[in-house]
Amino acid sequence: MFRIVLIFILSTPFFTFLVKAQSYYTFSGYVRDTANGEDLVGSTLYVPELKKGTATNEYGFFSLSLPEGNYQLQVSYVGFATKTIRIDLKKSLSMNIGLGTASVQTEEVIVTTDRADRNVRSTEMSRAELSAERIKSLPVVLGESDVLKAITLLPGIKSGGEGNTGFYVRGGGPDQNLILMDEAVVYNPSHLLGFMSVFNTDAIKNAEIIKGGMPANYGGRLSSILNVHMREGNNQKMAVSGGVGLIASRLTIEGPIQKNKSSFIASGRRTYIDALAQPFLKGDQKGNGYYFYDFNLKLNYIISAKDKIFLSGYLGRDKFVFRSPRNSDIVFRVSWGNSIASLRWNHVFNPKLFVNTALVYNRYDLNTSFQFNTNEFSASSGLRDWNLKSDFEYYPNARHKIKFGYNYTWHTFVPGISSGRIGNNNLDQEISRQYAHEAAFYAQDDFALTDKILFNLGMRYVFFNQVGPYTSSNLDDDGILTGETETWKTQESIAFYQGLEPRAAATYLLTETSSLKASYTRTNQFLHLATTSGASFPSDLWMPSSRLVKPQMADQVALGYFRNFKDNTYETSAEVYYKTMRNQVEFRPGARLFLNQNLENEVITGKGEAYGAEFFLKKRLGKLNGWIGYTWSKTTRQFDLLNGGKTFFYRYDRRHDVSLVVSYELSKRWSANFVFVYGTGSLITLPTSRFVYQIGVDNETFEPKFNVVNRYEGVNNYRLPAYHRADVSFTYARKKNKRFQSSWVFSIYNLYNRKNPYFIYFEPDLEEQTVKAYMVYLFPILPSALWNFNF
Amino acid sequence: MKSLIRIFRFLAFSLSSLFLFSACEKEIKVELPAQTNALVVEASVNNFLPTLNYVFISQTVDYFNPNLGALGVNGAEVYITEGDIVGNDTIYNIRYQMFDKILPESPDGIYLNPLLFGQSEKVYKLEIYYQGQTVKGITQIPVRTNIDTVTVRFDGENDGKRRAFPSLTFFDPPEPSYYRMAYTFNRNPILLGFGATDRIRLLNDELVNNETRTFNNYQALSEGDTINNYLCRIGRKEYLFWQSFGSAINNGGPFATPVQLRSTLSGAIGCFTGYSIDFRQTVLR
Repeated sequence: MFRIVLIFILSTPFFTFLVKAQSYYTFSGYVRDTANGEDLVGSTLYVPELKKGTATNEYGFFSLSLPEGNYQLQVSYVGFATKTIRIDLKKSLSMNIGLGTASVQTEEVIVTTDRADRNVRSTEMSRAELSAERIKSLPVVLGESDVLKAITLLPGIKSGGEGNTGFYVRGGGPDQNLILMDEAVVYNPSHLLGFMSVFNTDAIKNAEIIKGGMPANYGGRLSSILNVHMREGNNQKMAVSGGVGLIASRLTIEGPIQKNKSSFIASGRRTYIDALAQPFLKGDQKGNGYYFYDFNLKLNYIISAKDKIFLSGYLGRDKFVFRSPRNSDIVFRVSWGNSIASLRWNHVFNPKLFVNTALVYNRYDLNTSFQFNTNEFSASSGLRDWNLKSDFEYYPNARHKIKFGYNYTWHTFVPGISSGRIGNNNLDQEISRQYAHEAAFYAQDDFALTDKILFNLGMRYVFFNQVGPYTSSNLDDDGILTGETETWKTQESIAFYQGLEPRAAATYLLTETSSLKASYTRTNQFLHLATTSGASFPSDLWMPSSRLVKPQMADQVALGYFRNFKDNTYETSAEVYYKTMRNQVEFRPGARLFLNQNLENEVITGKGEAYGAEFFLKKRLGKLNGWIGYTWSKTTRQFDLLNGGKTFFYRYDRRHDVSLVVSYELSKRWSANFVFVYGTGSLITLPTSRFVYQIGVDNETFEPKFNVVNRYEGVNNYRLPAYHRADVSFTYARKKNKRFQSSWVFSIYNLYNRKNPYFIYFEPDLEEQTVKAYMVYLFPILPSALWNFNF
Repeated sequence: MKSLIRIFRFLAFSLSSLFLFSACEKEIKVELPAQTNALVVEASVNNFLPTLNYVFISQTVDYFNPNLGALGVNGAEVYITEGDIVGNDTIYNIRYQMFDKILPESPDGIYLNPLLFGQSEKVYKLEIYYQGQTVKGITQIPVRTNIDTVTVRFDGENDGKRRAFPSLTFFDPPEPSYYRMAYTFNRNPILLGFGATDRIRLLNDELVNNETRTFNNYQALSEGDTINNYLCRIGRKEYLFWQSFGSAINNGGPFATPVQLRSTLSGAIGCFTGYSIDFRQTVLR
């Protein structure tokens, strides 16, 4: 594999040289939305005469080197009218191109059908993109649209079920997805106990998910990359938009600071379940409640044609207070949230070289306090990151697109700080913080070997270094504390890991509308998520790779056939994948994960395997559009210390997974959306038998007393009933009144009232002298209404 | 407009509370995987009460089988052998056979020997032979930790008697120590099994070590009541077993997670525990 990668990387300058022998000039610039000045990510530029083209990068920048000449260039973007412009390329040319929707197009624009064969002609596979409009149009619980719910409708991506924003990609766990918000890592994407995510759809531009064939500029997680781009704000005019829903409202204000130069967008949300519930609460219950809020702010400034800076921030908090109705002295409080700030700089060195540099600060905190009579206990944990990265894009000619760069992160793990009083004993403890350097250097070339054979070859070098200060308590062979400790000084190396991650993707164009693709990806993951149980409240704790906990590693190969029909109106694909995972992390049953100085001793490691086939059919255009996806898959794990060392199916092993999304434009004002999902039931671990223990005999009555204990013999030994449901929504767009426009979204979630399992539990029935099983389900048929507005 | 807002507010609250505060449930039929039968052994040896030197042998039963009362196994050959640690070796001396149905009233499966008296710092080996199955385990009775004081605080009245809240104090030694702390109220102090206690708690000294520790009893007793305190020091592996046992029995209901008992025995589920007990009986006056 290394040899192959090396040969192609070495060959790159050779091909570049050949192409340079002719007179080539570069056409570069940005593609933007004429209505609001937003950069259009992934717009396609195509020269039909040469059958050559390119796409804008994630900042809207493009660079296309062509032989000297006069060309017609088609510029297109989904949902926008395609624009055809003529360029006379006698020297390198830089120009920004504006695209408008059909309703704002000008006469000189030639409307052509959208050229959208990127899925066939690029080296990308196992990738999908959703626009904010598509995400908003999907029917969801109580009308609150959500990007994490929307992506689970794509093949290969499974939902964790209701009340769970975690998603599972090709057999991986939820902590194996790298979730990025404007390039900042989001460690906990959940709001409202997992019913909603941290992404406010009003502030989202688009979302991209990569589940295989990962380009070399991404890494750090085994399974997938979810890259959510936030909007930049309208740099043409002030605009206000928002929505009023049943449990939350949101408001977004955006506008130019200096027209065509700089803009801002501020967007906020808050739930009001707590406020609505207050009139119904009495006495000490008055303070009880649960709410979340989040706030996004983004500023951008075009310094010159070559420089642009972005400053973005996110702040979100969930807060929950519970006072026991039976004893007001029992109070439980928990709050958690992410705080993110990022500063980015786009610079165009020359028409062929673009760089994005970002400095990101990220903080995740979880605070819990519990008060019981005279006992008090409070604890906090979290994670802080400083991240600096630069991504260079070099376009030597129309056949090559080279990317290289670095990514460095300084991690500070805060495993737990507690203070309080238990009985008469004061309890003040701080588990040692842990520190680590994580860095990556990468280079990749996306190039066309011939007109029919395309490659994307890359290599990523990663390293992770856990450093002091840190104090570890030593254990003997039986896991008993010896009383000895080991201490490392500031920046002293504790554990060091490094590795090469080859990335390769190849496309063979069978015809103009069909291609075969293959990819290989290796990834390492140095951060591990410790989670205590299935409890709904967050108890997540991120921990670094260390002397005892080795980095997780995955290798994935994928093969795919892609074909478009009817001038790209229909898009189809079939992909198969095989993935192996090493050093998968689990915690010993009954492990104490919170306030444990020796957390790494509670870790057990094993391996995993996943394979499957994904089929996708999408109708992109027309009054009736949407997609259907089907996935067949198998996922297993094997741990020496679990299940007697035998291989077992992963909890989210799902043999069949189907999703159907249909949108239909009923009239100018009315549109309808329909979603149907089906998934084989998840696996859970249930007891197989019971026994009595802690025997005693009453010394007066001689009555025996004992406790009943459940016995578990296997891991994930019971499959829940299949999950399926249908949702429908209708959107009514009211007539625009001068500038004010509003719409109503009426939706019905779980149309046929399917009782999908949330969990199962058992209760003894003393009257019938037996044990009964109960299934709890969250959402019955649930109608909702949502009012959106903008002006 | 105001009425519309009121309706909207009511609708919002109703719907949000519908799913956030009152999820629905229904009874279902579950076909559990078949179990493999296993022996379950609870064995105890201590330095204080001969009635707490017992071996209880039972079996697992199908999950939905309601008949939990008759699981005791009689007719097994059961031995406990006492040993001393000499250097790196353990030299076993006296072998006690344990017998079922010594007390006619005792339930099936309980094996006793009134001649067995445990001693601190001695090692004990358990052997069970039953229908071709062999169970083995080893434990040690640790050094005893003494109770320093039992004090009582009076606060308020109940049925004409002052409400009493006892506290127990002991000094925890510097080495890692693990305890089961048991109480009975107004009872004969002769315990017939740890299941006969009114309350039992498990603690370690990982967070608070090498200092005087006080444990309050928040359950109100009455002036004149008698409290029997049993401070039982145990070993680390036995502590881990009882910790997993505590997780297993407090693990019912909707958010139950699978808990595997950390057995210390070979050939059976369960634990052989050596207890070093300090006892204090106090009349609350």
